[in-house]
Amino acid sequence: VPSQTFAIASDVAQVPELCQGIRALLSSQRVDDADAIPIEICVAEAVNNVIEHGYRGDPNQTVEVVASVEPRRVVLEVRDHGPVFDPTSRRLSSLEPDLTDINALPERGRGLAIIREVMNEVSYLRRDDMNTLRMARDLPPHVESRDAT
Amino acid sequence: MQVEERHAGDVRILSIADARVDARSAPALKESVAAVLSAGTRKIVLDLGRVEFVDSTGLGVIVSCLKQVGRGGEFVIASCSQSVATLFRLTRMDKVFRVFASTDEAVHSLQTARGE
Repeated sequence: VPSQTFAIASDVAQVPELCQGIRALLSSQRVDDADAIPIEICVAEAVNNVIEHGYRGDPNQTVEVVASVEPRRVVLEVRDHGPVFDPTSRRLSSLEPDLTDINALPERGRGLAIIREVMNEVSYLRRDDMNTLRMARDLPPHVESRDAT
Repeated sequence: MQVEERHAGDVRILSIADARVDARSAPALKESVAAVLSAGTRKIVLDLGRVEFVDSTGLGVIVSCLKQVGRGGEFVIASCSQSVATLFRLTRMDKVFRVFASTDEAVHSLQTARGE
C-alpha cells in the first residue's frame, strides 16, 4: 500500500505545504479530484484543530500525517503529542444553515462536521502520550489504473 | 493577503490575489469588506477566481462579511475553483450565498437588480 508520512511544525503557515504533499500523493495514485479535494479539506481541518485546540497555538510542536492509499480507500492518521484531545467527543454542530436568520450563521466550528461528512470512518486513539485521529474515505471501485496496482 | 478593488457602477469587486483563504490570511479580508462598507458601498462581489483553497476558518470570515453587509446590501461570490465549490457544498453555504460563474455575471445581476 503506498503510504507516506508528512511532518510539519504546529504552525498554520505550514499547513498549505502539507496539503500540497497529500494532494501530490493522491494524484500519483490516481485518486480522482472528486475524492482528493474533500480529503485535502479534511486534512487541513484536522491539522488546524490540532494546532489551535491541541497545542493551543504553540508553533514549536510537531504534527504528523500518515497517508495510505489502499485500492478502495484512503486512510489518514493525524498524530500529535499534545494533551489528550479527542475531537470526536465534542458536540457536533449541524451544517444545515437557518436560512431565515443569516445573523445566526456560525463563523466557526465546522471543521469536525466537515470531516464527518466526508469520511466513512473517524476514530480517535490515545496511546503512548500521542493523539491519533484516524480518518478513512472509501473510494469508488471504477478506476482501472488504481485497481490494477 | 492581497485584496484588489475595482468598481463597475455602484458595484464594488473585491478580488483576492492569494491562492488560499485560511486561518492565516482570512482576517485581512474582513478588514477590506469593512473599509468598502464604511465608504458607503452596499453591493459587493467577492471574486475568488485566483483562490485555490478555502478552509473552514476562511469560510467563517466570508460568512462574517455576509453578515456585515446585512439585509440592506448584496454580498455575492464569483468564480469558485472546484475545491472552493466543494467546501461551499459540504457546508451548505451554496444555499446561503449567491454564487456566480464569473464576476461579469455577478456584476450584471447586481446592476440589473438596481432598477427593480
